[in-house]
Amino acid sequence: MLVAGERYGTSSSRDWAAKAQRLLGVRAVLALSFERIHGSNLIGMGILPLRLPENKGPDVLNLQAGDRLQIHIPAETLAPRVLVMVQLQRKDGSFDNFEAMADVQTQLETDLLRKGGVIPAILGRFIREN
Amino acid sequence: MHDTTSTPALVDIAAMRDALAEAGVDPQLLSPQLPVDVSVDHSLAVEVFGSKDAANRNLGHEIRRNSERYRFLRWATQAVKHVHVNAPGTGIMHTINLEQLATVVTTWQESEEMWAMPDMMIGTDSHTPTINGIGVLGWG
Repeated sequence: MLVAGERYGTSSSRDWAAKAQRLLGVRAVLALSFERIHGSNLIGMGILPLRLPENKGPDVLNLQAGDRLQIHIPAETLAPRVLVMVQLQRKDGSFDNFEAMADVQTQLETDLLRKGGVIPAILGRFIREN
Repeated sequence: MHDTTSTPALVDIAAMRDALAEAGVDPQLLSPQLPVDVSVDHSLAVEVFGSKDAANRNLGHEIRRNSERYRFLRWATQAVKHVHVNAPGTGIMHTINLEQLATVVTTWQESEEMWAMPDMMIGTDSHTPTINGIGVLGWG
C-alpha cells in the first residue's frame, strides 16, 4: 500500500508510473485526491485507488516504521465509491481505524479491478474465445 | 507510439503470448487490433554538437546503447501483426505521421457504393494533435 497527498500522480507518463507500482507490488494507493488520468491508469493496472478522508492526510496519519495498514475488500463487494475500512495498527498496538472511499467511478472500472487490470482482462477474454 | 511507450507495450504483448502458450492457446493469435506505427525518437542523446559529423556520431551512440531494445523491436515487426517500426534516425513521431503516414481519407468500393473513411489516430505523445492541421482527428 502506498500513502500519498493531494493530486497524486500528476506528471508525464502517468500510465507507465502505474505499471511500475504494480511491478513493485503495490495493490492499493491511499491519497487525499488523485490526478484523474493516473487514477484510471492505476485501475488499469489492477491497483485500487482509495481516497483518504480530509482529516486523515499523510501529515495527520504520521506513519512510522512498524505501523501496519490493512484493508480487506473482497472482489464481489467492490463497487463505485464504496467505503472501505482501513485498519491502522500502530507499533505500540493501538488502533486508528477509518473509512476511505474507493475512487472508482464506473462499472467498467469495477470490472477491470475485479479481473486484476487490463492485462489479465485481455488474457482472460482471449483464453475464453480461443 | 514512440519508443519509450511502445517498447513496454510490446514486452507486455510478448509476455501475454507466453501466458497464452502456457494456457494451451496459440500465442500468435494475440496482436494489436489496430495498426500501430512506432517511431524511435525518444532515445537520442546529444553528446556531439557543433561539427559536421555530429548527427552521425550521436546516432552511432544511440544505436550502440539501445541495441538490445532495437533487436527486440525488430523481432516485434516480424512476429506481431499490425506493428510497423520507423527506424532510429528517420524522424520525429508527429512529423513522420504528418509527412508519411496520415491518409486523411481513404476510399473503397462496397458493392455499388463508394465509401470514404476519414483518418484518425491516437498517439502517445502530446504533439500528436499536430495532425489536426491537415484535417485528421488526433488525440495525444
